Amino acid sequence: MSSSGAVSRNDPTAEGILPKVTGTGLAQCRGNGRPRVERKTVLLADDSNTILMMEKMLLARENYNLVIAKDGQEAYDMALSEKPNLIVLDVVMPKLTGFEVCQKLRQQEQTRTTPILLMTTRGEEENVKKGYEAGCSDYLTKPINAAEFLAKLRLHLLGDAEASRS
Amino acid sequence: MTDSAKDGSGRHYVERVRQGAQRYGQELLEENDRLRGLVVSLETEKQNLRDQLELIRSEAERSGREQADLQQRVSEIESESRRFAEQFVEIERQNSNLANLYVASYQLVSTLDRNQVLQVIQEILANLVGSEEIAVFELEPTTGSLRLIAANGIDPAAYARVAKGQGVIGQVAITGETWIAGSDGAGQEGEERLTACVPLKLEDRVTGAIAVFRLLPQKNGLEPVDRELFDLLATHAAMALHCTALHRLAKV
Repeated sequence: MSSSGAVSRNDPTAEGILPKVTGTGLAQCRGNGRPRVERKTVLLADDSNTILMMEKMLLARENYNLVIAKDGQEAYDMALSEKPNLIVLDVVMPKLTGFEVCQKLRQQEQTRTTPILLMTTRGEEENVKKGYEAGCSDYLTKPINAAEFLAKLRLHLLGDAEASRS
Repeated sequence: MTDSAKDGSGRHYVERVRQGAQRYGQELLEENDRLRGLVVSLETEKQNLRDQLELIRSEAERSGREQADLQQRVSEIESESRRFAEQFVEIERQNSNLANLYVASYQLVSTLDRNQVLQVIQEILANLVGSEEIAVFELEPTTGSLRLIAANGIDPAAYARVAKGQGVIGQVAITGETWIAGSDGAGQEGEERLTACVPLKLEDRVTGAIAVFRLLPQKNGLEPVDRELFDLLATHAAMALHCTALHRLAKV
């Protein structure tokens, strides 16, 4: 996968198996006479193709714009350029860890309140504590529990929508 | 007063009394008729009220039956709704399990690079099964022993080579059957932390094995989908490794 979020050879979306992942957060409902619905943008950051593919499959039915980052630095840059409604960060990533990305994003005005879900195999209490200290909104452990993942994502996106309305 | 005058006055009195009695009799008859009419109308009213009461009673019975039917329907709809919710959760779970299997299968056949295949095997075990302590072995046809080709979270030196039949891992290379902790005898020394051992198989021929040691702290034991992932790994991982070897040969 490239930093622009384009699909790679190693991606089933390339053969139309899954919805295309876009590198931009533009809403795509247009010209059908229905009210234009802004699609939520979700940034997925993980250095594992297996996890990224799993997350994309789980979110395929949810009508989100998905943007992909393969390391911590790319996740940080895309969070600022794409302005996602929610960010899912792996903890162990090259260049910057999920904790570091989370901390840096919390220092930026535009991502100060963006929901950030940290996802990791490190489920020990000290790591969870470290995640919350870094400013994450929620902490998920691998292997992915699909129901928990989707529920937390919806919950935080709902919170984000309510915050924008108020 | 003369006698004739007295007679006239008496007759007159009698006549007056007779007329009065006649009028009183007439009034009594009229009153009687009025009361009879009143009784008839009251009887009719009573009958009407009785009919209305009967109607209300039957209406109440009908409403009661309808209410019971509605209550029954509500409880049917509630239980149907609960069943749908349970089905939805079950479908979500199956969907997630299928996604796991699909992702694992897709990732294994997505590369012809041996190191990437080994990386994918480790990712599947870490991210989909929930273990970061694993060892992947390949069976050497020349020596007949299992040689460690990838490891994570364990001491590679301790498992560099495992003879066929040696401990659980060596036994799996002979039987070609997946071993799950608790399913039969415990492993030998050093295999106490072994959770599962999966043979790598090509057309029923064992070509290697994957040993899965301790699970992640948040993972409470293996689930049915993990066993399905092991079955998938047994053939797909073996095939993927075989393909990388063929590809290497073809390039040479």
